[in-house]
Amino acid sequence: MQLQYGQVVQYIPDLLAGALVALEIAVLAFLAGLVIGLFCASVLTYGRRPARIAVRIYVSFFTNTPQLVQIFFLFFALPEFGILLSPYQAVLLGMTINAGAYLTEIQRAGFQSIHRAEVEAAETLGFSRFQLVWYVIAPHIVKALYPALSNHYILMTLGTSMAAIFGVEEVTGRALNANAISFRSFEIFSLTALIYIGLTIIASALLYALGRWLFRVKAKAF
Amino acid sequence: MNDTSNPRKSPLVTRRAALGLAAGAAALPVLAATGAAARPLEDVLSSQTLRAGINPTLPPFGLFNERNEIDGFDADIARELARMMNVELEIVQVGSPDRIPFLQADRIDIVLGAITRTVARALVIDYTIPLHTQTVAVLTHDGAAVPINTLADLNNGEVRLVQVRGTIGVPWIEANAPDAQLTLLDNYPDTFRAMAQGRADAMVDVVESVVIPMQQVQGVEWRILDETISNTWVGIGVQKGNHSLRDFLNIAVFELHRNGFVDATWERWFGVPMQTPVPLNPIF
Repeated sequence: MQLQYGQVVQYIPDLLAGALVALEIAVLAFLAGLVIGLFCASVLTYGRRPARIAVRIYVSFFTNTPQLVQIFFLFFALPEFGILLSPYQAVLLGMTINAGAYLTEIQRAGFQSIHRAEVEAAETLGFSRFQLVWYVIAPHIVKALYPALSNHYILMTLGTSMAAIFGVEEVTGRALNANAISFRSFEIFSLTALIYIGLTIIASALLYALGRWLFRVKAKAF
Repeated sequence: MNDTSNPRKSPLVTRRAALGLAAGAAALPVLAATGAAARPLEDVLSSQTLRAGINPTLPPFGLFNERNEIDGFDADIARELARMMNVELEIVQVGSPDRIPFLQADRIDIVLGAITRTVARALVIDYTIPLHTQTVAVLTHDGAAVPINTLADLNNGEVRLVQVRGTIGVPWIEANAPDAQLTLLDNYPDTFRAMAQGRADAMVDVVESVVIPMQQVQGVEWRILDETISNTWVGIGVQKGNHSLRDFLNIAVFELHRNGFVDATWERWFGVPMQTPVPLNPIF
């Protein structure tokens, strides 16, 4: 077997365009998942019993079934009930709901680790519950849970490769197409791996910048 | 005092890990260059095993039978070839996108799975003489959003086509129906379901590979356009340059044509004779 990287150079722009799609899916699903997770974690901490049970069912269901199966359900089972999601919608929705469940678990730890005194101070200052969560707990979570959140983001970025199965032309899908034309599997998939490494580095940098900008967290990015 | 417990040592470990990673990355091409050479005929014979890649999602070429074993036309051909070589047959499950990589990585010795002979594929693998022929045509259904009655109807921005990645229809669509919307999925069951659920209006593929599994999707009025696209020739694939194995298989396949085994096996699995028979040609 001879390696011919010259034969696959022509696919690089196409693969990079796919990387943008992957980045977009990962960013949107993660941010939406973060909001869902923050909401569900506050319900678990402050909510009434029926609401807490509902959140528990949601979290256990989505953390105990494979994400691929969840997206298959959205893509192929929902049409039987008359809901036809496009490949992009199904993947984005599936990844968001899944991320929401995992990020609920992660952020719940943040709620538990907050000092009682900080909550009391906020209450004394007349913060509403929303203000308490947004101004006191969320910055604390971002700071204390930076590694866990960052890891989940990277997992999600790599998880976008599943979208290829549903016809979303992200990096893996485009790599499979290029492979089907050129059959230069080793060259194409090593290039693809390199692109994913680039994506995860961008992912870490983005999360770092976001943390600094939103909550002035001075966390280490790497 | 034990120095290894000192956390300050960790940057060194990290540097070492990074070096290891770099060395590993550098070694990969070398591994690939040396580890994936094909097994010539004598190695297949001495190992007593012929490894055949078969796609079980393409009934009746390949399918899972009631004992959950891979069976079908391709499996019968592979079994007969192994019998002729007096070796065991090991069936390896492959899919449309990965069947050639399996061959290149030397995970299999031969690949069946209705692998149409194309110029692009002939650049990377070697083929035996044709084992069978196939007909490429348009498959559509009565529930299609845009009625499709001729090949020309496909080149329309309203038409939604669905294909399995890496199959023969994709380059044809890019050349002949560039205006149509195209979704690429992973396997045949997904493409049939996509059409049945109204995500797509038509697909371009090999009639022989899709008719039988398509009919298993209930509640859809499937239709095959009378206007066909082409006939294709299907050989057995071996790794590029594995001439000792290919030369043997050429003679074996010729004999299977001459003694009627190919036609009989075809009729047993497809229920009808091959649309375009392979002419018997002793010179190759």
